[in-house]
Amino acid sequence: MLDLPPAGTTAPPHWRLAPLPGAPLYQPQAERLAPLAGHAALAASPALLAALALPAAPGQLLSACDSSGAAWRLRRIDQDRPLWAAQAVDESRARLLTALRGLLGGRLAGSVLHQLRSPLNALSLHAELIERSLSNGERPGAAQRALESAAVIRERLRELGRRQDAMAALWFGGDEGAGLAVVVERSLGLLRGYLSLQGVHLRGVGLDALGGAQLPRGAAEAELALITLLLAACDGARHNRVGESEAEMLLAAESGAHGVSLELQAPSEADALGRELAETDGAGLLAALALLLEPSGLRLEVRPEQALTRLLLPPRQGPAGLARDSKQPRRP
Amino acid sequence: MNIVLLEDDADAREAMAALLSLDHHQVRQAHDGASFRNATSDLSGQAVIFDLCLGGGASGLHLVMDYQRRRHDAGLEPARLIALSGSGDPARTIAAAEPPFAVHHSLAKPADHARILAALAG
Repeated sequence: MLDLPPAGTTAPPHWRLAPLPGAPLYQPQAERLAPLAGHAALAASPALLAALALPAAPGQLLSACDSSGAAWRLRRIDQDRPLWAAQAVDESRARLLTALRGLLGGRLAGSVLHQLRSPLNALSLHAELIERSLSNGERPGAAQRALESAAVIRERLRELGRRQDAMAALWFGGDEGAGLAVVVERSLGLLRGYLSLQGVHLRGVGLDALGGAQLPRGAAEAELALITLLLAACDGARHNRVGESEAEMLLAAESGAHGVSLELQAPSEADALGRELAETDGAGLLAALALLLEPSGLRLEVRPEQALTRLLLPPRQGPAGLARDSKQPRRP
Repeated sequence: MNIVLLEDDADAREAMAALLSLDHHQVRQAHDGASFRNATSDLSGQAVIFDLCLGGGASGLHLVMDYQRRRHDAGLEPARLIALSGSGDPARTIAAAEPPFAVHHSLAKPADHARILAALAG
């Protein structure tokens, strides 16, 4: 049964803007939320039904919990009727993750292809060089040249393996934890070719400061979110370049008493990516990324006027989802 | 034939240069704009094999367009141009060039050495 969350708990602000992809619409009725079409009714507590029946503006958010304690979001859709889209936060996250994988797959397909074709080209040429060298076995230096080519082939195959592992971890990754430094390194490894093709230079500063900071869960989600932020910054850097100058983005890490922060300095153009992700705008996209980052403990801060996006991993991480608000009195 | 090879992947560039040398061509190697301008400063390259997209967003096509202009200004015949691309569709990239620009052959990577030799021959 859906009920109001325990007194004194609050929903994170990004829950209001994060899309509810494919969420069914419900109307409060006696003892239940009746679906508008095609879904099962949801049992709901009288307190929640009363709250949902009150006048509300479109876009207003109510948070709720089901009997297992899982958090739900309900968003008012209509001004005149008490019509609400409702979805478990975990389901929103899973759907957004799938949509984000599709979006990034489409965006990066060209550069991934490029990143595969270039080593294949080197492998093909060196294999041919080995053949030619061996067929000229009597000539001085032929064996040495063949050995050198074999060494190149071995190293490029290792490189291909590493790229394949990074892509597999991103596209099929589970709920595993990982070092933040590893997440950043893998993201940059996947994006380097794309940025190069777009003519954007990414400068990393102080990334050693990430040190041994660990994400307890959600490493793949954090990686996807970081790549999305980098793509939005890449678009912004390209559109804001001056004349023929090279577009540049700066990624700076800092570690201190506040935790570890990763600061992306570039104008962000998130609107187009938001529309591709879930028919939302840039603010909706950033809220969706903040929702995806919850399990990893990473917080997202954006200051558009300073062209600055920051991921912050606090020293001590609280549980994801509804948070206890110390300012609110507890309900008995 | 005097060939200028413009490719930012050092492994591929060196292997291709070695193969072309085994076929009795003279090869100068370049990996970016500065080294390409240096390798083509005497305008002796009769053919250019070039990567369309170089690292850092540099365009191999723009460098080669500039080379053809320099040869034209010096009263020389156009060099034979062979484009290589990792994007899979080099012809489309070239067709989108502004102003329109003629390239003799465009090959997607990985390109067999035999196809490169055939492209050089005609």
